[in-house]
Amino acid sequence: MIPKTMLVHVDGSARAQERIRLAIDLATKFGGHLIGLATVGTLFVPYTGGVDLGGSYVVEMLAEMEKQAKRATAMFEAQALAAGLESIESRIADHEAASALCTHARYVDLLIIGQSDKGAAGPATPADLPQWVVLNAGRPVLIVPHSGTFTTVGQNVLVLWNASRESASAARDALPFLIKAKQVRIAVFDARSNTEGHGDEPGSDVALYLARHGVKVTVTRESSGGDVGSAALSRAADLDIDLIVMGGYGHSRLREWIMGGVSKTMLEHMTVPVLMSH
Amino acid sequence: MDYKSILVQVDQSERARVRVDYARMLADRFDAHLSGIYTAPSPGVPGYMRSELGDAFLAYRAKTVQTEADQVEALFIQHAQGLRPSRIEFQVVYGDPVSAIAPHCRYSDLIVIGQSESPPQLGNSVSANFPENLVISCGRPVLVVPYAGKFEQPPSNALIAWKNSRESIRAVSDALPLLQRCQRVSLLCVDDDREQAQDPATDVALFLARHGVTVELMRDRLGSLDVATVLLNRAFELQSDLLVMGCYGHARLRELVLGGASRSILAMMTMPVLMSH
Repeated sequence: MIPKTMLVHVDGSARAQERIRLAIDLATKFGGHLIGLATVGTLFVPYTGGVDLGGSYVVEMLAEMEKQAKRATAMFEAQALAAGLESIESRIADHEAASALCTHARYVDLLIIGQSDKGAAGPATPADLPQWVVLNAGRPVLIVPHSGTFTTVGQNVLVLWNASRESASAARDALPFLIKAKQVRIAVFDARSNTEGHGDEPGSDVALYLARHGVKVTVTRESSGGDVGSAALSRAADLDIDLIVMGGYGHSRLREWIMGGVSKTMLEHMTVPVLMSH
Repeated sequence: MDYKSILVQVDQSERARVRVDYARMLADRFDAHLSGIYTAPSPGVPGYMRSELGDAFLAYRAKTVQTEADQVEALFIQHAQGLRPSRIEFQVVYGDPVSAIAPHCRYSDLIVIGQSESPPQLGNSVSANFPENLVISCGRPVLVVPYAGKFEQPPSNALIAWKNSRESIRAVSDALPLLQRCQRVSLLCVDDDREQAQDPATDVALFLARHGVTVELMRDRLGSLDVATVLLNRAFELQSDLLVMGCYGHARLRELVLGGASRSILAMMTMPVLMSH
């Protein structure tokens, strides 16, 4: 379905501006309604090392956290106004970012969040926020890298295909992007015919599925040399890709944690926006 | 995005005809490709049994399996008539129905299967817990057609069972093409007496409105009934011909832990039910 309700995480960080700009572009492109969600994080009180906090300190701290959230939504509204996007609304949630995003995901078509920046991660936006949201929101999540500007998103798309349930969800969820794209490539890494859900020709089944929706694709089968995430990222750079579509966390988190994994590599090293579905 | 590939599970049972007719009607409506899938018993036998059974028996067995598959294919083709031949496809897969069918679901937008009957009817190739296992593992919306009754019209009066959850929004989102073509869509929240719902479902009503679906919001109290009974009562009262709901459950190793309401609905439903996990 064409995304008609989108939600962007506005956190007042330096990167929020680029994320909001991209979200506004998408809302304009799809003719959708855009919600800016800021989170206060009231439920999180930093540990201060056993110092007895006076009541006034807590009150001041909460007031400050609320002020920050309001600043973030004001920034969102100003940017939308400047871009001429009319169908918008701001929301402020009391909870911390991860649970607020997942709760508010229950009435949207698409979530737009930022990649974690190790340097800038703090209590309000924990480093594992994207992972948490991908796993728990139940909606497609567009993750915007923590550096770079992205003037076009979704003209030249790379779909990472491994025949898993998650990559099938991603292909379906990405349809509005794929239908509007100029070029769509499906990359299948290290696939062997008739194993792990692949058919005789890995990638051809999903190409047919997409073709029935009017999406023309080219399929490439290649070897990753062991690290699919890095191979995909270098392909994306070579091909001037402006959106990567993939299933997130098809393997158990335990396995990803121990062995590393494509999702983890992507979330850490992405250089273009990534659309992930779980 | 409309449904462009519909997969229907076919077997030799009487109800397979109703199911294929229903799926064909939907394929017509969405101008979609219709794929029939049949799970046949695996024709192979372990090597150590081969000499014991003898070539004649093995040949007979392979032939029987093939004949049955041909019969199912004929049934499918007969009931899929009216669609352009290039839009119809039939495939036979072997072994356990869930693990054989699930990979094929990944290339479809909607899966049509039958409700389980107890006791199972002749020719029904799937086990009693096939529907729930497929819903949980296939990653696509599954439309379950009841084992009794006729469904000769595409859905026009839908009821959404809403709960503020991941599964609910997934189901609503997956059902959009059907909902957009309904004359009437109702959205029901069942209030649990223990926790007063904070979310009055207005957000999801707006979400649907932006997709061109107008809903009537309804609330029912649980009282002394269980959720499934409340849902089915309301569906009966509204004369709903489609129920849309999230399916709750976990696949743990080989055992399925299914939510109570999902299980009850799958057992007691009398109208087609679209479930997403």
